[in-house]
Amino acid sequence: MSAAPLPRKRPVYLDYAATTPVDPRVVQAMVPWLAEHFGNPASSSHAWGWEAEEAVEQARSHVAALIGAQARDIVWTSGATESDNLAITGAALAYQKKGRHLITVKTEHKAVLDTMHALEGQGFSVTYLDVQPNGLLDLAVLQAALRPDTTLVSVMAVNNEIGVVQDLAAIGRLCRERGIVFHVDAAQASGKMVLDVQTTPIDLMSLASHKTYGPKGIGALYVRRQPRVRLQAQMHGGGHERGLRSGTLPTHQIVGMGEAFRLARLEIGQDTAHAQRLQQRLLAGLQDLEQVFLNGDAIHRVPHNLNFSFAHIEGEALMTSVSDVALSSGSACTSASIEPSHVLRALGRSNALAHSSLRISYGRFTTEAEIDQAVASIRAAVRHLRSLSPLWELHQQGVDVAAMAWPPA
Amino acid sequence: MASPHYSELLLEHSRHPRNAGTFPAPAPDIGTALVGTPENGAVIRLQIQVQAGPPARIETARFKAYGDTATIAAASLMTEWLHGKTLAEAQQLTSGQLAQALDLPPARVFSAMLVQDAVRSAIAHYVGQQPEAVLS
Repeated sequence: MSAAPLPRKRPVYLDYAATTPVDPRVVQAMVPWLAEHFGNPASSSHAWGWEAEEAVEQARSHVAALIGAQARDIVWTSGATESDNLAITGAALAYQKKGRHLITVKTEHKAVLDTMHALEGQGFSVTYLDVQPNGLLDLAVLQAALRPDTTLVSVMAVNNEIGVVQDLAAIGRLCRERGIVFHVDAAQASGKMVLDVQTTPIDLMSLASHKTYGPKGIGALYVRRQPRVRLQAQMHGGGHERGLRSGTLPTHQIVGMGEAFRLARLEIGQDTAHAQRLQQRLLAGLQDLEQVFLNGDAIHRVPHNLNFSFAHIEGEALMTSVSDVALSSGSACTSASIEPSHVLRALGRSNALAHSSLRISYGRFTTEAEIDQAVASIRAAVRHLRSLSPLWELHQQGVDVAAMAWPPA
Repeated sequence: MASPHYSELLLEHSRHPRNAGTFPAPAPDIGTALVGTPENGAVIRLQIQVQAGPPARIETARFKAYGDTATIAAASLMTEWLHGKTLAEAQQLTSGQLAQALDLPPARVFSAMLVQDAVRSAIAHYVGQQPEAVLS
């Protein structure tokens, strides 16, 4: 039996939360640094190195400017995952004489959760906080979890699956009062909301390039100097980045991230307005469908992400039915697993609703026509699958399907 | 996760399922099965309308399925196979045959197993209503 032929054209891309296309202007900025100006920025004895170092430092200032920081507060890494590892493990080890208790949230990205889990294996104690059904952290719950031996709290700015925004200022204040290091994974936040470490008491911030129209494989960690945050380096070998992260700096990647962040700062207004228009169009196209639930708070969110659960139809069938649109079901990073999304389960969604979810995410290059195509495709898929679903039939007959016992009498 | 390795036949049955629907009302000549649970990700309702023989023979079958692409396709294909089969012949149909016909990826074979369960359960339900039915 032959496999189905590959689609003639690639599906419409609405999975911006998984990764973004590199902005053509960023590509243009990067190219000279590959074969032409290829020097090692650490080569301090000749012009090949000096010019590369200059480009790196200029990019560093662009990244810093997006978040209200100084250039010297920025450490280059291979991406937000590495930044999360450096921040969490680096701080936990640096402060372990003060205490060995860490706090994070159940809805964090695996880069945070798995790092925390690894530290538990090294004798640290970790509290994983629940969130409210809207995905937001209750400050009282955080406060109750703080202990005299707590040294680090890690809470992401924007959730990658459902797009909700946490109250970083309030969380930061709680931590600062107690001298607890506050780490924020801002991978999904850069270019989508204002980040300002001058006015918000954040000590460590992980940044990604490829979520903000820059290349994959490069990221940064903001490390506060006032008050000074200590970190134990995780990558050794040469002492680059003030000893915090060794390894030859990839000039072309750094120039790319710098340019991407420079553009993000200039264009955040128009990017946000564009995303809001697309969000409204998407909502308008789906809002009359019954038994469709938005995952995550409707207000405290970025406009670039909508995650819906569709009752009484199964998730894989839904994803296959909308194959002309590139979307995500559950967490993109773990879509190889058939486990329902840990984020949606943390919201209190049943396994079934968590599994039958679609994450639709869009950005700078998404057109209204693409949103319209997604709406049409999703509506058709939902109509088709519900016409086949015995659960939908029961629901239409007035049965409370969720309350049924299985097998039914 | 949508697998890129579905056969043409599987995709055809999932996009254009055969015999999807429900018989209007319970009747002595209709065997009905409802198998699976929502928490396990698949629920199939399979119905067979049986012409009393001897031998008792399935006239038409209908299905509804909540489940993944493979579940929908397997249920659809099975209803085609059931048409005109005697109950004894229908009892012999297996998930292995479905899996082979649809070229099911190994991870999806459980879908075919649930369809097999549904067929046997529907036959058992019919026989329970028609104890004199001759299964030959």
